[in-house]
Amino acid sequence: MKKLFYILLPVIITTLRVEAQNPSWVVPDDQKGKICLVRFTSDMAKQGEVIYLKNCQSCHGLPTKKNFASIQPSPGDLSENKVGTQKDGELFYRITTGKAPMPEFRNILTEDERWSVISFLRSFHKGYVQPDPEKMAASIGKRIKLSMTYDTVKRRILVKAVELTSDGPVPAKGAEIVVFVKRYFGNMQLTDPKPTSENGYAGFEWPQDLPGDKSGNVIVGARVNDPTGNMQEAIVSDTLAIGVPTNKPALTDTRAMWSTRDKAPVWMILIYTLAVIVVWYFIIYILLSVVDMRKIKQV
Amino acid sequence: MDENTVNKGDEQDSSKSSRRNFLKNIGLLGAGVAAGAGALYSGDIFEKKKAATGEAKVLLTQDNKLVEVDSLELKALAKNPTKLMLEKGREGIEGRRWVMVIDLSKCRNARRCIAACQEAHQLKPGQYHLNTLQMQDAPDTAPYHMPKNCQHCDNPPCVAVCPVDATYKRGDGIVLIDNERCIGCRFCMAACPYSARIFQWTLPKDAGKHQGEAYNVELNVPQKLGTISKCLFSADRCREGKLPYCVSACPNGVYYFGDENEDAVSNGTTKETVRLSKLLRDNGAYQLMPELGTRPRVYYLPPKNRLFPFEPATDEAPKEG
Repeated sequence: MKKLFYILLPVIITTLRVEAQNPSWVVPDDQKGKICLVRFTSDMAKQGEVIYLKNCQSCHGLPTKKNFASIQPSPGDLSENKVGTQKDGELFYRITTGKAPMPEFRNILTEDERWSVISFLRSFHKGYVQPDPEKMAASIGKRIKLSMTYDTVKRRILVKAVELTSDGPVPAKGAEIVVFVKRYFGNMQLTDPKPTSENGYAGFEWPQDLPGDKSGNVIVGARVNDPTGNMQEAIVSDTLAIGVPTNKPALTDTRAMWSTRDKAPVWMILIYTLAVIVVWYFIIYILLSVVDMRKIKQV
Repeated sequence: MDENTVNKGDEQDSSKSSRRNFLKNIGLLGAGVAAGAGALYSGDIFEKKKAATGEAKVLLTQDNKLVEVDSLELKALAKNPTKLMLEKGREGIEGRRWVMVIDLSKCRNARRCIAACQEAHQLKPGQYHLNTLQMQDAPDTAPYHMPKNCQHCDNPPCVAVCPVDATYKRGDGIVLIDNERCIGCRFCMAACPYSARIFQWTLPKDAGKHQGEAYNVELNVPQKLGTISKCLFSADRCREGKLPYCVSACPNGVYYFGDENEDAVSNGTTKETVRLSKLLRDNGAYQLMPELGTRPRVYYLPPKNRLFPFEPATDEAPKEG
């Protein structure tokens, strides 16, 4: 018995080690139940294929071809049973949040695009039956309305969330709020998302060193962050003069050796001009001397 | 005397009446002219309204504003489009200073950036505005892949040596080449310490197909035989508010691109926007050959905690998978 244990021990250890290297990717229970609110069609799968080829194929390869990239943890072929048995909500969560090295597609693909990718993958999963969208549709759609102010004393952005119920507006408690600042190529999230308090408020520290435009204006926005999709999308944005006024000169405004003639360094213009004057002085001096010599000869 | 006075009075009367008549006539004439002009004007407006029934077209103006114009009112400019684009390309986008951050820990040599770049700039497979190099700093250190493009220096040696003002730096930091001016002397290639520039020794890709197309200085296309070409930070995309071709093509989140004045850079893969100063500070960012004083606009994040094992590139074309 003891012998058998010693034989098995390394096997157990190696298995455990492998398990430790591949910690399972747990999807929260409340996310698993999320389903797509439209029926998967072949058109949707086709759209999903285009998105898949652009965003997923570089690591996951083509479904059923098993030509996924050889990286750790292995991305695996998404047509396999391991993926096919997962619920729609699980796949949606994994695509949405990602897990290094898999990128999160929250900001890359819209919800519809993520669903069409799932629709494409489902076309490879034999025996998959889509949960009935109509049954779920009734329970979804909390309507949240946001408003935003800047607290000049505490120097923070105050977001108020109100839920519009059939009995009128009530403060929305626990709604996860994200505050972002508009930048040239996208919205920059200020801090981690914060849930609203009992009164429906959430406060966000405003960074005092964030640049604004010439007069310090910044476009600030707030939205409800809700991966479950239980709240309808609510966004509020406003232009506030709370950034650091930034008016840096263009990089061509300073004088430099590499710049054009108008922007050449002053010392260079002076020396060049002086050199030209000196050369022409001697040329003219010599010419005048030649004329003088001719005059003397004639006399 | 009396007669005279009477006569004078008569004369005055007649002159008075004639002035009145004159004024009356003038008034009538004025009213007539005004009425006529009004009628003509309203008719003209009506005609214009009637005429402008072509479809409405949305156009992007030179200062990046979207306007709606009736398609029938569109007139082709007599100005040469190449000249127009050259003038536009000399001016940078106001108030911007573009900056790129390359995170070496994420690069696994997928070479999608290169493919997107070569596609956009009409380059042959062997011509690179951007290339991923295999690096190993010392015999005992780990190898890694390093994408390298033009550093768009704030003190560009290439611009300083150009004898014909063909390569120039713009206010927003981008170093561009005007292939219409370039004489192909290759001084800039010799001056560049980063070997960022390529020379079109042979006929460019699809030269026949693109013949006669208007030259776009912000894209360097069509490429010209016997001139220089190099990375342009996708100046045309920046104008549209889109991330450069390479940045948005990367599948692994290597590239960040943004505006230094806004202190923000956006990742091309995750589309996440982060504080530039924090990203550089937290990750020990560095620049290539800072000792030369070229002041590059590209920052590198060291290849620490790499996500992918190093796979040396093969001679084969990059894998599609």
